[in-house]
Amino acid sequence: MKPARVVIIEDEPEIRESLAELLEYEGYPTLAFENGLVGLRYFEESTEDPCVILLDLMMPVMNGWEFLTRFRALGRAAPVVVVSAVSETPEVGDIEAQAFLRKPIDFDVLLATVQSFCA
Amino acid sequence: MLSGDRAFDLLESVPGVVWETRFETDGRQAMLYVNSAVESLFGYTVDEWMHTPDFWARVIHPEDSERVAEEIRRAVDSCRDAVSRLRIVAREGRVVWCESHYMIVCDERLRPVGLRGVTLDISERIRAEQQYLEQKERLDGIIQSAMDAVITIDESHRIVVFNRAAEQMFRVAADQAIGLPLETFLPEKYVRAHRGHIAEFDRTGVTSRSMTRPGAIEARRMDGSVFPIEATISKVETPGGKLFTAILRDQTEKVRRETRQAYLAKASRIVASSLDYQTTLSNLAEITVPDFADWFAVDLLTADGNSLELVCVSHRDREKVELARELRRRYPVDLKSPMYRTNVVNTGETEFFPEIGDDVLTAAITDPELLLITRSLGLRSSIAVPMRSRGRIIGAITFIQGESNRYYDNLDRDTAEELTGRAAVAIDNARLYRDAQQAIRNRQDILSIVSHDLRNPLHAIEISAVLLKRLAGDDRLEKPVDRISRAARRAMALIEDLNLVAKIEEGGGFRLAREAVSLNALLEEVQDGFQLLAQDKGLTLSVERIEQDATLSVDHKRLYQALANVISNALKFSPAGSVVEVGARRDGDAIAFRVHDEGPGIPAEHFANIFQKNWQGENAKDFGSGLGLYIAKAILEAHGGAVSVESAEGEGTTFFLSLPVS
Repeated sequence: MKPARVVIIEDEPEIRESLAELLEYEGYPTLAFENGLVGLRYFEESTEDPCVILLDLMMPVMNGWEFLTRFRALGRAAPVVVVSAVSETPEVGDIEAQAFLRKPIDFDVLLATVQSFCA
Repeated sequence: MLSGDRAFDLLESVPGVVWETRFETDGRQAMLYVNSAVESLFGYTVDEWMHTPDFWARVIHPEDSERVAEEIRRAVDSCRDAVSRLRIVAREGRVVWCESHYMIVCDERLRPVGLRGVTLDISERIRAEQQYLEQKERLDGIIQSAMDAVITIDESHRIVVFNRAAEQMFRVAADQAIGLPLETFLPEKYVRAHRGHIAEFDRTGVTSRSMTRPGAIEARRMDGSVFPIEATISKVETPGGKLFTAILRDQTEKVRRETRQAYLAKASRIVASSLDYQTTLSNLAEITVPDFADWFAVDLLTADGNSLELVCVSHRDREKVELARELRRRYPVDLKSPMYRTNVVNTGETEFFPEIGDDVLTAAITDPELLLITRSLGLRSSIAVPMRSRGRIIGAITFIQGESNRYYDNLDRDTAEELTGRAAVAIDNARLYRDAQQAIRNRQDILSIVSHDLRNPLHAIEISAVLLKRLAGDDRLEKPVDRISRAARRAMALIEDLNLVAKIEEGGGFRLAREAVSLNALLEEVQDGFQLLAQDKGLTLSVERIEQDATLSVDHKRLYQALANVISNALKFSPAGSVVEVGARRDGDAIAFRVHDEGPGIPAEHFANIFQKNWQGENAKDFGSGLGLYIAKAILEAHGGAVSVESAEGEGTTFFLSLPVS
């Protein structure tokens, strides 16, 4: 069986690409989208559940909050880890996410988190 | 019956001249008898009187002779007794005032044949009378020339004295006023109370007192106009009855000046109370309309200086306000056009029309329709004052009297100018404040945009460096990649600092996410965080745990940041081989962290500056500039704590960060 993928939704291309390469290097297949809408379109088509979604909040076109609401509205239960520079926890408090990682990302923490969902 | 001798004795003893004459055919009077009193009174002998024909005509004062002759003729014609006043020039030239009482002597056929009478010396009486008249004239003069109106009424409240000042005050002649009831000159609402006042005043027997405080009572002219007065009243009892005298002073000017002072004082308060000039202007409009003006309008010069924007217009009637706005929309102001050449914002001088005649309107308004509409507004009087701020004209305020039929005078013009001056200050302050706020907002916006936008590329650099290190597997890459990583992290930290500063400056401090933190755990974290850095610099970092651990309720991340900023600073200024000590001490209800270094020390005069964000001291570089200490102080203060420093040049520096425990 093919291992489940890590989905990255992040608008900054350098961060998105670096994260994807790093995770690939660590052995996780990845799929990356540049904003919430592109990501949502994918999940509307694909029934495949990723092992975890790394979700940025502040993005153009469709932000992370809206993506998450509409993703859950599709009846999808895949775990979501918010990766954001938004610092104040109350702002993400209402989000139905499984974890919160603050930018700048600590790689050891990131890898440990991904591992916990995708082992 | 008296015998002849006794009658003679009696006549001689009368203290007056007794006499009898007979009319001669030539019209003269022959003296038949005169008693000897004539000698002592006038110095002429009885003989002279008796034997000089028409002697009395010689001694009578020339100014009186004709009148007395006439009086006698009338008495004779009407056959009645009469009294004549006359002056006799006595022998030594002395003038004696006399009064002659005489009767007509008739013969058996009732034809007048002579006079019989007695003449008395009335000099004393005349003197007294003259004295009385002089006194009366003097008194009248005083009353008439008094600056205050003097009105005397009798017991039935009819006016008996009405001086010239009263004539001027009430604009009515004294001879018209005298005899009228005093109520004629009182407004309806006071009439009843006034009768009561007089009655009470009469009863209390106080002879004089001030009726009320100034401005509280009013009087009414014959034309119905009412004005404020101050009055005192006094009472005199005369044989003819009681007289009440009121002394009145017109308070119109005084009340106006007081009203003006109160108005301007209110305006000053309004100007000081708000930095929003729309609020200020509408508050000024509220105290101006309708007390000082029927119309109040404020125009501000537009940015290009070519037109005026009507920023405030006030009138009691909402429809009129709308009309004014509508007119301005339809007829925008073009200050460059000839029609506005004389506008106050162009001339810089107050424009005052005590009376707006049609000539004024036709000269000012060229558009026939606008002229028609303006005419229909019934404008009476106007003052337009340019608004100046710091030497520049910024607009104008116009005050207009219309339907209230009031007219402005010079005092009103002064008032309008004063008010406009205050309004100009308010507008200027509001503009300066708005500009300053905008500048602050701009700075904060830039700060927040820059810090947000810088974060992402830096983060990308950092992630890429980590990735590079993992992918390369070449030892030679390790050091340069680590440097890229560290530099990117430092830049990120700096941006975090900038963000925090922006939050501090927005006011109200920043939000703390408090949680329970062990004091020793925090110290351990400090050691872990800085041990390697200290070693790299050849320093010893000595972190001392506290014996009895304490639990703090703090924002963990922020407090660590504060400690880290102070420790970074200490490490930065410590010479190689020295020790940096970090510890904590319980101090009553507070915990005090202590960070000591063996660096060059800070002169005492800089203690206050080093915690300031904008410290630009010449030695700033030597003691740690930048935002670190400023942020540490802000974080401690947000926790209700404080930061302090102890140092001496050459003896190192100790920072204390104290926090309340509870």
